Amino acid sequence: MINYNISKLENGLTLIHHEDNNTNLCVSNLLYNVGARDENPDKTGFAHLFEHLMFGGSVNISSFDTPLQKASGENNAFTSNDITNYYITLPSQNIETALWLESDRMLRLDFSEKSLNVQKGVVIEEFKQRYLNQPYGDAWLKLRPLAYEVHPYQWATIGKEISHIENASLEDVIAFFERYYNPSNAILCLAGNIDFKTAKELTQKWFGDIPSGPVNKNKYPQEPVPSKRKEKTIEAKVPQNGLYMAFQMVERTHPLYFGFDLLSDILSGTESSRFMNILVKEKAIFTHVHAYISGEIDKGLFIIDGKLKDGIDFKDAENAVMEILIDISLNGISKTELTKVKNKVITSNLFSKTSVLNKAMALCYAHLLGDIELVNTEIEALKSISEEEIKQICKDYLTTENRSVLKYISKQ
Amino acid sequence: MNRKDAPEIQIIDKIHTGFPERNGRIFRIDSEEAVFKLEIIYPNAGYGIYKNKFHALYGMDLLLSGTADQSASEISESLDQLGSFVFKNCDYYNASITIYGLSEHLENTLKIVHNSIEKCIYVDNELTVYKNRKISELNINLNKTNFQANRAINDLIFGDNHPYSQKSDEKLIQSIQNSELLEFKKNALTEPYFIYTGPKETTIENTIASFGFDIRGEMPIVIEEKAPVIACSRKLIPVGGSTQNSIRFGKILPSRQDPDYFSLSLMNLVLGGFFGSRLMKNIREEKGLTYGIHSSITPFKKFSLFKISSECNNELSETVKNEIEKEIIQLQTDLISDEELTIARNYMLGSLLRNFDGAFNISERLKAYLELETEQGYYERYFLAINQITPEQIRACANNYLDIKTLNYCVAGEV
Repeated sequence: MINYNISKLENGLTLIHHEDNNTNLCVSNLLYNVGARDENPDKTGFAHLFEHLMFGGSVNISSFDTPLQKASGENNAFTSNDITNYYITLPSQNIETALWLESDRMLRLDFSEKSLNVQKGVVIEEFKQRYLNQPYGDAWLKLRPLAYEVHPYQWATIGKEISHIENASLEDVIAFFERYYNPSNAILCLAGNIDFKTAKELTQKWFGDIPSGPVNKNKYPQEPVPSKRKEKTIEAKVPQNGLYMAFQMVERTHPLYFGFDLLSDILSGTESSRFMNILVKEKAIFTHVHAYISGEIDKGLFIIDGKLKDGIDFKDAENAVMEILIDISLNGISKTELTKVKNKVITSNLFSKTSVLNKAMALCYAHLLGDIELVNTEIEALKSISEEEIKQICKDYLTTENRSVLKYISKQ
Repeated sequence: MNRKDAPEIQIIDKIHTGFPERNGRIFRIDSEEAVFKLEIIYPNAGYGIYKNKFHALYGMDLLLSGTADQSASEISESLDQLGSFVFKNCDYYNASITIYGLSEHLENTLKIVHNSIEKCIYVDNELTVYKNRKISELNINLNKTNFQANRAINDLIFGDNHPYSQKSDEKLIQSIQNSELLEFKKNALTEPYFIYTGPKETTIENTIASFGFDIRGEMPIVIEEKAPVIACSRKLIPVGGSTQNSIRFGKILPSRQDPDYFSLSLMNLVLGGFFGSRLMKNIREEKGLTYGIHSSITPFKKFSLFKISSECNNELSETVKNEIEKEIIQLQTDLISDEELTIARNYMLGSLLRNFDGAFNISERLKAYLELETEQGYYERYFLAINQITPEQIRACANNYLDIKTLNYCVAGEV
């Protein structure tokens, strides 16, 4: 159980507070309600590029990192398809340094051509390091546009292509800041060794005079339910044939969401999973094969990703996977099988709450989803998923029509 | 309130490791949560100590792969039912089993793990499936510039026969026999000690003793190791079709017992050990040539390993190399400013504080502390030293230890 307090500044900034006196540290986690799904299709990768620029100095402070390091702090950030999240951990006595820095860059960034050009270079190298310079690294770049035809999840947060990053202009940067970076569109969590009164006072002190701005109310074109199987084949310098299958799943707040998560654990992840037993050991079709969910707020993807053993046909591999899914859709699963994957999630969930930073991130995200109490109730929702619902997911969602298939053919 | 003025900061003035007293072969760290972590640590079973690196690595990985009456799947099933996680690690000096779970299931989990290890026979089919996966992973890695560069720099630093540079290939993987893994288990997985992190109510000592472990004894005796031979050379490794080059520099440095070690640590931090380091500022934040560039010092018992690594723009990797050398020369020539030293020092104190924050972080540190046979009072001395190191000492370290002629260098990619 995570305890919290919540309040709102006049300018619209939400403050969440969580006290944990077992630590000497304090965390500031600041979530902006903007992600890659808010980008223009011709200027993708922008939300992430912008995140890099947030470290290039703000209107009153030339360097973000240096004063924080001097205060014995550490920080980082990430961008997803849905959100941009900035976090700082530092000794609790120095929390004001974090608020000073975060509030100044919310007030206004120090926009400069030089910072933009340098960070374009950095992000292009990140693009290559994560997506291009390793076998199968570009799978998500290929899979997203296949699985999504209208929803902006069709591009990855890094962007569709390097040229989009190269073409970003300073005008784009300023417009993006003015559109999304303001207190009304942000959720701040102060967690750790700090009391609510201090948290409120310091937040008011540093953020209170920042003018409010527009809340992100973008409507995203919702992806229709696919009506036929889609396929893409690429030849690449990869050592083994690779098979990726993506099924459209449900929204993050849908009652079946955790069913997909649990199903992925039933299929893969441990030695007792169905894929390991049948596809790797018994039939020897894959050397390794995994199932997982992409986890976005709008309808995400349920992914199966495997490397084929030499001499195995793509069609046989795909059929072997489908046989397992069809078996569940017809015969269901046992209570024991469902209990075991639930128990593992329950343990992981308890461990994740031993970290103040994890708790702060979870609180902000739950509030963004519309109900901060989800941070405590989601585990109950997960426990209540039934065998019947797992069967229903296989029957209704993991079907032939709802499937996008990406094949990597090894060409060494 | 003037937004241009930084709020006042308080410097961290003490570090408390939270390390517990040893009780026989058990260390226990109390935590508030209803979950536990138990580490069973086998000294001398590490891949750098056991006579065959790959027997140690594979022998550990496959410890829960089945007994005469239970398959890997059945063992996993019974652990999963309890919601427990079991990880098998083979580090340089030690091998260990780490168990995470709900406190109420500690005893049952330990029973399954203990039984599965005692009776593990390294079933043929499991070994075959594992080998196939290892070969697949290796082939994927061989296409990566970072993997190739890591292999090459270890070769250059350690020569061919050191455990750090011994490499696997398809033939070697295929040749591993289950008798060799059984021999590893029998000879190396002996005399464990334990680190328990969890609720104080648990009578962990009785539970562990009930499985027949000797928990009252002294700490086991560890095998001495020799420091590696020092070499220096340079190497280029072409990796076709790569979009980035992977650059590595490296050499052997003195161990943690050396009086210069703390100054070296701070020098490394200033050079490339954190986001505010000179390499990051120059090569990433000024020039945009890389997503990341880091230097590190990894301690061993009798020496330490210094490395610089970066994946960077392949057309400009020569520039990156030159800039790295320029930054080293700068450290050897000019004294660092008091301001830069203060920033690095305070950041380092913050890292220390984070390292010892909370029971689970403390247990991580304790494991490393014991593995390296750290002398008592090490962190207290470390804390004092950080506060006393001068710009002159940092410059002297750069001169005494980072002569560019003594650095091994390699690059993998478009070369």
